[in-house]
Amino acid sequence: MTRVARWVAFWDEREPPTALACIRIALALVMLVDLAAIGWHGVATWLWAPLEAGGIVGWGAADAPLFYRLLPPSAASAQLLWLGLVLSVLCVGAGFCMRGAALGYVWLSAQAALINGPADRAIDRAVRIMMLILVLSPAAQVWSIDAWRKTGHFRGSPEPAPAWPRYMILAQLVLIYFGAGLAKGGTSWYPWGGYRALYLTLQDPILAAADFRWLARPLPFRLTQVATALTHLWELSAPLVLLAAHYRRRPERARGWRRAFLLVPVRNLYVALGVAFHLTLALTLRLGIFPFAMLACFPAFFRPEELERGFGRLRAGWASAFSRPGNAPSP
Amino acid sequence: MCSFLASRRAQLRAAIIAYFVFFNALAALPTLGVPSAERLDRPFEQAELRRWQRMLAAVGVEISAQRLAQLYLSLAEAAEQAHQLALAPIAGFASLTQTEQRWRLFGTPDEQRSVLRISAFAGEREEVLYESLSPEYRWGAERLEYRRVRAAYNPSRAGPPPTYEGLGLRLSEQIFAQRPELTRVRIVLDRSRVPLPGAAPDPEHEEQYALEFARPAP
Repeated sequence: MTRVARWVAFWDEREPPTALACIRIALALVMLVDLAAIGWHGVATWLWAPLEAGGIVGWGAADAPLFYRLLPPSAASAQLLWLGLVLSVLCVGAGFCMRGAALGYVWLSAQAALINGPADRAIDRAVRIMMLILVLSPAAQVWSIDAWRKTGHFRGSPEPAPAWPRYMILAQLVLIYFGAGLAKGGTSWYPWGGYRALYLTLQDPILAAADFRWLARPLPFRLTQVATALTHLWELSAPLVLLAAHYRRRPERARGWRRAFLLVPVRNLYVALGVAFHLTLALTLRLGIFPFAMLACFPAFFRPEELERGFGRLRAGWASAFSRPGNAPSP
Repeated sequence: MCSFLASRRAQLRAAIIAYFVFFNALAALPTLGVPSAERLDRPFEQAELRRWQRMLAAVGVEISAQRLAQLYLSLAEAAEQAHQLALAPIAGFASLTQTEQRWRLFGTPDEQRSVLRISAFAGEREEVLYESLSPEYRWGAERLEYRRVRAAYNPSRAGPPPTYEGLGLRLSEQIFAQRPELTRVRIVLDRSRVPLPGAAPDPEHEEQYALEFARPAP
């Protein structure tokens, strides 16, 4: 088989779309919480209306985003943009006309970014990329209203469907982490800058979730240095996950250091560190949805059968925890 | 016929994916920032240059700070141009969907930090309403600390974002509406140096980017 033929065959692989459905639902939930926060704080007008209509950002007539060429530049239009985002992401989560809804979300979110650039964070960009992949995916084939309409069951039919959207989401996660690792140009991420990056970040009153002045003591400071080095190393090692997945596809070919490489649970270690990294971020910095939206994409690290096994264990654990002694099977 | 079409479809899909994977991987490669001699003159960048210079000297590469700055500028400019040229085939798509692949995530944490402080005045009497991270001054804290609103005032080394003044205007309108006795609102970013472990704390701080709003005439 030539390399080109292997490439074509790889992207033509099929698997049950369970992981994609998990990502679809989790990502939609996270975005719904974020959009609910906008509604709760009543800041849709501030964020997305023009300055003269109660917003915080202005633009000239020639630079008006497409959204405000189609709709009047008013506070009502900003509210409509928020409502459109809520409805589209709700449809993505429920799996109702999922492809159209995800595409609608991407367009509205892109317009929101063009209206107010500073309010559009890296995570919003990442979510748009994931949603674009979901548009082309069979993510609504299971656990969705679309599945219920098609099969009569919300659970749908987990028949094998194209696996490439999951591979693309995994590749995108690797790109984000590896790109972020390479882009760390500040010396505070390196030994010659004293590995002070996390310490400095945690001393930023606008970002920090609490007063972290105590980190200046010798031992806590040392720990932030270790965490800085680990974080950077974790980001830079993202491509190893792809390499490990590649080697695992043909373990019989593994010789020498490849065989040794296969003995290390690279993917599981990477995911465990990633979960710890994101949860620590969520506890220490006010980053909003960033840690949770990234974690929502983590099912892409796992094959559907691994997820099914995980769900099975959870179900079994749940059942044994809540089963009454009288219901226990007789010996 | 069906298998021929399926195979053609798989080939087309693989080709499109190859196109996007290649260009997106290129796009995710970092450049060296926007090259600017003025930026390099700022204290933070000067300190960074000195640290890089010391690191290079430690591995046997002796280079003056001035030469290192010149080298950085020419490399950064070339990298930026090459980046833009290489990404031209997907620039339109990335712009339409706002999906540029630039992932920095705290790339260059600063030794300077800022606190947002909102004060209001009833005549000459000043009252602090909000201060970042203060447990005492919490007016509108939940809203001000929501990620998208925080982005409207959180300054970079180049200063606050263009939304800072607009946000100030909206905040002042709210304060005047809630507190009829107040006549003036002042918003500042108070800049100070992060206390480094083992070093004496630097008590100096500077109020920057002050915005003043007087109650509009009825």
